[in-house]
Amino acid sequence: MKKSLVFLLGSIAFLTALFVVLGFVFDKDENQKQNGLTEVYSVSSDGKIAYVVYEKGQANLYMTLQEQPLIQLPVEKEIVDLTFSEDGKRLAFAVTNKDREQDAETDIHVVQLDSLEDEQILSVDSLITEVAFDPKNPELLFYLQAATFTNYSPVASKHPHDFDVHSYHLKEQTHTQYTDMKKYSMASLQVSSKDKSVFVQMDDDENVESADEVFSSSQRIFEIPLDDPDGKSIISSPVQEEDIYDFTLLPERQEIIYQAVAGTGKNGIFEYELFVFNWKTYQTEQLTALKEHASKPVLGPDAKIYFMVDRNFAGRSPDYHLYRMNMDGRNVEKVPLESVGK
Amino acid sequence: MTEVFERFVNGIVKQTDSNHEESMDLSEELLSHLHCSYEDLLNEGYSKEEAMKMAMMNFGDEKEIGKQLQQAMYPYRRGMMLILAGASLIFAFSLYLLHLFTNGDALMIWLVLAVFVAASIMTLTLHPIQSLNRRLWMNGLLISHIFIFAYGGLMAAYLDRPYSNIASIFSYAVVLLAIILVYRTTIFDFPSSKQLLQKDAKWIHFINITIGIIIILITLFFLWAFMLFAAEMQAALLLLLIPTLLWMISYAVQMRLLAARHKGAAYTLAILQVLLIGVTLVIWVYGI
Repeated sequence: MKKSLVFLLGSIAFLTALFVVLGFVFDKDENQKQNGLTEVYSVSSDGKIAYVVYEKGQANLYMTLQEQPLIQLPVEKEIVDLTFSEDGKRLAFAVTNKDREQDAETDIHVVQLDSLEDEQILSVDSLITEVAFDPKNPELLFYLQAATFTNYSPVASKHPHDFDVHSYHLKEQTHTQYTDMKKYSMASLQVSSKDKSVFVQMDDDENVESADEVFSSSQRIFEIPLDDPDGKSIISSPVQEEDIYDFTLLPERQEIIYQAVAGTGKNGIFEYELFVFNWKTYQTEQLTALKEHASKPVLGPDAKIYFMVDRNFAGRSPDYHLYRMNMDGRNVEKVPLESVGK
Repeated sequence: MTEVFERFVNGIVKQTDSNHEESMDLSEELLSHLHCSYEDLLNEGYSKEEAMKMAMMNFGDEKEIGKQLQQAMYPYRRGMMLILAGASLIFAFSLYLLHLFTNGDALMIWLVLAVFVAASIMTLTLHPIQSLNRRLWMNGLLISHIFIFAYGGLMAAYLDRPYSNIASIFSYAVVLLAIILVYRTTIFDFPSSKQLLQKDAKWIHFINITIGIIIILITLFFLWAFMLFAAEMQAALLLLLIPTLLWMISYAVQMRLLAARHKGAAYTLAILQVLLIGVTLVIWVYGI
């Protein structure tokens, strides 16, 4: 064999060995890959914003005007949802394992914001996906719990299913399950500030029989009376065919601000925008036109609608930014968060 | 004198991709030319020593003649093989480093396999080994290359834009070049000496290679789709290899039939195969 070929093969082998060594040094564990702002946030009645930022896979719970994170979790844990109490004195959040396949348990923590004392108040063996304080009673914390974490089809990955509405009384330390629906999916939990009821987004699949009908059923917003869960009713527009995902209620204005698909952008990726539906006039209007992925509308104390925008929707990793706007969709502006990208 | 001429001719033949049989033929041909020239020079009055030296000198530089013969017998083959090996190495190293530093994933096993296949193609091109059955070895390497680099193309989709687009296009180009070389190797460059019906053998090869490529691509697509949606690998995935296995058996049967001069039977089987794939594809596309 010629010397030049031996030298060439030797160089290739050396480079390969070097890259394999680099691979051992720089390969990251799945848990360490998450970075940046997530879409988990909440706005308190006094204008504080709590949000979650990942740094090398580690979840940090920050609050505006606080330089240090309130909470820092180990890399294998994540914060799935958080909520302020109506008086802004407490912050509750749900913590699960990133690897849900292995362990689908959830811990609920409450931070007393005057003392910054963190207490784990509840631990369950299944997934809690959302938490919401009762605006009428700061001791009562509602949550959505999925009884199973499974894949119904062998070619699908595992997801939480069999959802129901539960609550936990902080002072009495009592748990209550209100519904027995075992819903395939349930999200966007909100507790009524006037009535004994909650609002959630679910599939409108009450009367479906076949699998085809399940696929064609629409996502709607339901009001569930807690004393009579079977008496639930659809409060979103009953005439619209489009799916409704996230939402926030503005009872004084008889309006729902919700997230839905507005169109298809370049590369065939759906563009999600925020819309407003008035249930007195049945009028629907599009509020945002960012042509990205707007989600998680929340009403702030400044009468502004806060929402998250993912500028890399359907990409490998999301790129979230917090925005706010007037209730009519004007004056859209980015909300600066001190602890993002430091 | 014969020994000197043989050494000279051997130096020329070594520069080509010929196998043992072809090398013998080529050597014989070149030796007879040298002998003729030698005889003529002797008749012109040169001494034996002078005639021998002049005959070889008139022939030219052995390396240069070898290269020209290689180019005449297999036009641009060596260049194509070297481009394939070089481009594959660049793609393998780039994809590996991009995955490592943007996603934190070290595709070590894939890198080692990709480098091994590309380096083997390069070695067999720069240093042909006549004792190896070139067609079997080359096609084995090229088909392994198609599988490994098509998988690399799928992995490119997991990179951030614009890296994903550039890497995907690069991988398509590399795989396409390997596919063209499979056709070349089997049909044009190294036809089997066992097949007497050479023209028909070319057609049967063409049909089967095309079907094989379609089956491999569909198999990889299903494998990718399954990995995208399902959480864990399952033994049932091996069922995906059944079409490839059936194709390999059918291909071998057709070539045996042709070698035994059962031309009609070989073509019937080939056409049946095409129809089966066509009907399946139509049902699949229109059935969804």
